Amino acid sequence: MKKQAALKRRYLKINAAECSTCGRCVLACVKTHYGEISTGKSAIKVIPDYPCSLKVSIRACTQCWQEFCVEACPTGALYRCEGNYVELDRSRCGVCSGAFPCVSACKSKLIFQHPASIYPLKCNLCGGDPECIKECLPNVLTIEEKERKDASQNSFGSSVEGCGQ
Amino acid sequence: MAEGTSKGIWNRFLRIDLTGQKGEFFSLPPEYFSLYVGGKSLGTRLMLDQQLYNVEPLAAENKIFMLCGPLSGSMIPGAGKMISLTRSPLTRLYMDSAHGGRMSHNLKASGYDGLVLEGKSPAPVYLYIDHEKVEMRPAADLWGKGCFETERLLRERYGQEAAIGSIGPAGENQVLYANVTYDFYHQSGRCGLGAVMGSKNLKALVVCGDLPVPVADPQSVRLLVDEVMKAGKADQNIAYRIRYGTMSTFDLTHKLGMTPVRNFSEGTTDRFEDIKAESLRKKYVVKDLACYACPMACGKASKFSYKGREYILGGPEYESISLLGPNLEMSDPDFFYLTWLCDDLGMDTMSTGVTIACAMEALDKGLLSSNDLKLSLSWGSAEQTAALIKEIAYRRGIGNIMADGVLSLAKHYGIEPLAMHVKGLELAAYDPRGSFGYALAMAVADRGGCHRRARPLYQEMKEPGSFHSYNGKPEMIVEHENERSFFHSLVICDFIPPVWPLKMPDYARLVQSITGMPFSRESAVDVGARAFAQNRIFNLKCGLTRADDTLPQRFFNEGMTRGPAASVTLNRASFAGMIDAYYNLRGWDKEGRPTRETLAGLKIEDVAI
Repeated sequence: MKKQAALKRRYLKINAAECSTCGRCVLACVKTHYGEISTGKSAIKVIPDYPCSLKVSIRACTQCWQEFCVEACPTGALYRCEGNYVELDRSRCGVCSGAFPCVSACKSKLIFQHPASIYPLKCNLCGGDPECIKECLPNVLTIEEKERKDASQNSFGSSVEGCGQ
Repeated sequence: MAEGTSKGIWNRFLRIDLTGQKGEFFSLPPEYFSLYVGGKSLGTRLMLDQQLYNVEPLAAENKIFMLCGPLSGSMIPGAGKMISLTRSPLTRLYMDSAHGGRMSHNLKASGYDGLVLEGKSPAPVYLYIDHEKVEMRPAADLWGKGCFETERLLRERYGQEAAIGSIGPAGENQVLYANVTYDFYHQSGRCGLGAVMGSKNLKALVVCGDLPVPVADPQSVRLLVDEVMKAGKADQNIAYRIRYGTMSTFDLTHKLGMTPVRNFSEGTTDRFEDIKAESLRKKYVVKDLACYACPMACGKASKFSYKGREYILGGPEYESISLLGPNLEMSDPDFFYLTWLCDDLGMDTMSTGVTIACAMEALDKGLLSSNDLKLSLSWGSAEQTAALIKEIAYRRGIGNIMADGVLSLAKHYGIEPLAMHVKGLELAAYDPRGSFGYALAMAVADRGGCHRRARPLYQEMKEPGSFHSYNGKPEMIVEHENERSFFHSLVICDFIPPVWPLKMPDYARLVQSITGMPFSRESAVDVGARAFAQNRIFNLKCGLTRADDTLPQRFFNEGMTRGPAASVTLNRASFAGMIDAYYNLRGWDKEGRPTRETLAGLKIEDVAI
């Protein structure tokens, strides 16, 4: 379900070139949303390329204009909230019994699923004050807000890569 | 969790029988955890229980303990470390070697507090662990490959989130100071762990895991960690450590005139401007790297070119910079390449550098000729040195003798005065004539000529004249050794406490918050003291005597000709006085043997000889 087209999107901006691959953001995400110290259920994925190169792929939802997940969600659990990011209301989720149409619909593959979670894994900026940012000393992660230039503008979230040189 | 154990500790270990190709779980008496908590201190007890002082280090009977601790698998800064213990093939004594990366976290999250590797596999294998799935898989296609290629191939199968440790050709050929490389830029570096793995036909370890570890008081832990993280973000000392990593240690030791140059002949170099931290950072460093869950990314990723080919390297760390650098009169980026070569072949850069330096000095002084060695080798020759490093890794020609370490090389050619070692372990990059605290620390360190058991420089810097004073050093070294042994039992990285608001009492509190066991600062000191008492007993059973707690004669007889420590030599009587005082403080007798009273005081009378 989708209401009107969003005019602003607030998202986690990622500067992967500075990432030390410590993984504290990943741990913080799971700790915040699942109350445990583990890595699988994180909505932010950090994948280093070593030993082949120093590249790091960091992937998290970009709260994009297209809102494929919002459209695909049959219950309205996924919606653009007042904070200008796409929120997931867990109380309205779980209906799809593991089918995760939201995950299939996302063309950027930035909403994830994990066998140990009935909910999809999606960055929701922790309600506006991201925990991952607090854990990151190299300042890889910041919050950015963008305005839509016109209704047809798309923002294709993609794997954000960086290596420092 | 096993019966009677606290939280934070599974009390579940994996015993791998490589001979019979099987694994089994086992638990330890719960009181071991209140006495030792985990990691190093626990490992020293297990080494005694298993009587590894009676085994040949490279025989199937030797065992390797790879241990986590109660803080492993957490978000506590410094918790990304693990520690391995065995009988060293290089020194034939106790050894432990810690490493960073993701192994500690993954193994703990796989449901284990540690592994014991026993026996010898009939054919090369690698060990794969993912919770209850434990397999020895054929490694014929990996055997012979360098550490980086091995890891690359294993990651193709197991992905980027697996923790992977591998030996290279040096380990396969049982070079006595072969090491294990983990997750691209971490090494379990010293004393020959790689050779022991190679002797077991164990090429690599792959560990996956994602279980959360039960914690007694997660709220307390979280509050402390949040507070610490807030303070850490703003701290300039931490920012400095992140910017330069251990590269800045070169600036420090050079300033003190104690950075090894030409086999510990001098303590300063004319190449300082090129090698100081700021220069290396600017020229080569492309990003900072961290161990798992560590907010202080002290690792340095470098890019450099050597002979027209471009390389990436995790490092070099200070010891590699120094002992493959000015100690051999190497320039940059040559010692970057030599570090990379050692890392790929899987051998300790420190022992490699010191062993080669001995040969270079012997040639330089005419005590050896190139005919003796069947090769040319001069100070600063990167090509000859790189070729020699390969000869060592494959035990060819003179490499076969040098693969047994500097003491072996020196004995073979009758050049012992040029062998810079303690107890057979090549010295770390701190000239004892620059710091009498380090003179004591390296002479009495449990695994040989090691710089990590104590770190006197910071305190010595604060008092004028302290560097060359014998006073107060025994007290300082005992305190540091106990503290660090405690840290190595948790297992946390000892880089954290000096600059983070996480000191020994804080970590003691964390042990209590995690495990629920009552645990004070005094408990923490005792954990450390037990480790040192136990590994001392182990060493005594290996034949160690007081005579081994000493330093190469150069430091007593020869002074440097330049720099802040010029002309300084150690006085034998004063040095002996420090050893006496050290033994006394530890509650050991005049021969360096822990007394029954001391052991009883530590509640470990049952390990008395």
